[in-house]
Amino acid sequence: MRLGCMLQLLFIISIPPLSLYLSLGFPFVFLLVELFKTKLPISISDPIERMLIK
Amino acid sequence: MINIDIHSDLLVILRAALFLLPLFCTFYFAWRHKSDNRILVGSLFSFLYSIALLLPAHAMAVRLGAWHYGSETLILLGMPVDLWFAGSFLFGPATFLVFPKLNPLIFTAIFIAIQALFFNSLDPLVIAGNYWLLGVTLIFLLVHTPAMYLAKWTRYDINLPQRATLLAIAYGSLAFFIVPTLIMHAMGGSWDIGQRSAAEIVAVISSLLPCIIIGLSAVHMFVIFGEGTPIPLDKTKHLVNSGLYSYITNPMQLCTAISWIVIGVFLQNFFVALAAGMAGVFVAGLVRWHHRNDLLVRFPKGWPEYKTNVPEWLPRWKPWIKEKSILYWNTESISQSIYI
Repeated sequence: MRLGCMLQLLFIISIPPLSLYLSLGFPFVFLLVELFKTKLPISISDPIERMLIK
Repeated sequence: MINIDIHSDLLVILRAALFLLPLFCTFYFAWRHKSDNRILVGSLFSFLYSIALLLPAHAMAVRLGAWHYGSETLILLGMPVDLWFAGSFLFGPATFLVFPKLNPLIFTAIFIAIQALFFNSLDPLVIAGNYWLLGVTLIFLLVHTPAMYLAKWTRYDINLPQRATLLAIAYGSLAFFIVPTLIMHAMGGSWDIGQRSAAEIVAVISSLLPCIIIGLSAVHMFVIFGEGTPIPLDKTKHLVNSGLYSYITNPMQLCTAISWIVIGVFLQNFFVALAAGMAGVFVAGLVRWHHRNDLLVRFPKGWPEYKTNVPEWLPRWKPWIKEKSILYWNTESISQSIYI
């Protein structure tokens, strides 16, 4: 969740013409992370998570 | 009052510094206090309160002619967005984190005095109009001083009802003013309430009133039964499953979604009404994540049972009450006897 938020903030800062739209779309980051954690098979989500976080 | 003639180039630097210095101070001192969770939550709440109230307060001041801004870039409702964030950082988390023990009233007096001395020197960054000192004082008393108190009370975990009230005010402003304003800025539309008839305004207020009452009742339940606030960072001590929460799991989110539809219809703005869908996305994303990672961990027995019996969006006809309750009445009371 933290990584998703950080990435979205990075996009907001680095793409000024789209920053307002990206800010308004922030809840989709939460949804994406939630779907990744709950709907994706562990065999797929675990390696990705390990690669990104650990 | 001091009236210094500041070169316009210096004003550009001043404007940038007004944004960057409080931002830097906030992050640096937050890092210094990283082991003290309550102080960090307090500073975050002070920022949220400031960001929610500062824009409407300044928009009102500009509308009433207390002052106006010389810049034409990054303007939202007459206020530069960078100064909106700058003020929210400076007179909230930055000051609180640098001086955590500062009395909010002393803070108010000091900053009003500084603004009173230098306000006229800020032309053309900000141009003073009528009653600007009254405007500055009111903004401090309504926005910045409560933000500092909120931070302080959260840090020491005291005055829960007052904290919850300030958070409810901040949430109301964020959800029903800031979010629609940003949506209309991005997609088109405006708050042209002056062009609406009195009947339309009465109709929208009457439609919003039940939502506001239900939302405030939900906050009340959190304070009374949960001994905490609805914000998960300042969490409740007990699982709240009575009152409104025995009918529905997310009363606040449901009220927010309905209110956005009502406001969207009133403003004849499809995109504001569409924000109700965003409430669904928010629940499916962040709220469920919070339920799984916090409530399920803290209440491993109570939460799953409550979740199975109480729906998220569509309220139950009858409340879900786990334990049998007994209602007693006074047989001698005439007022009570009419209900029997």
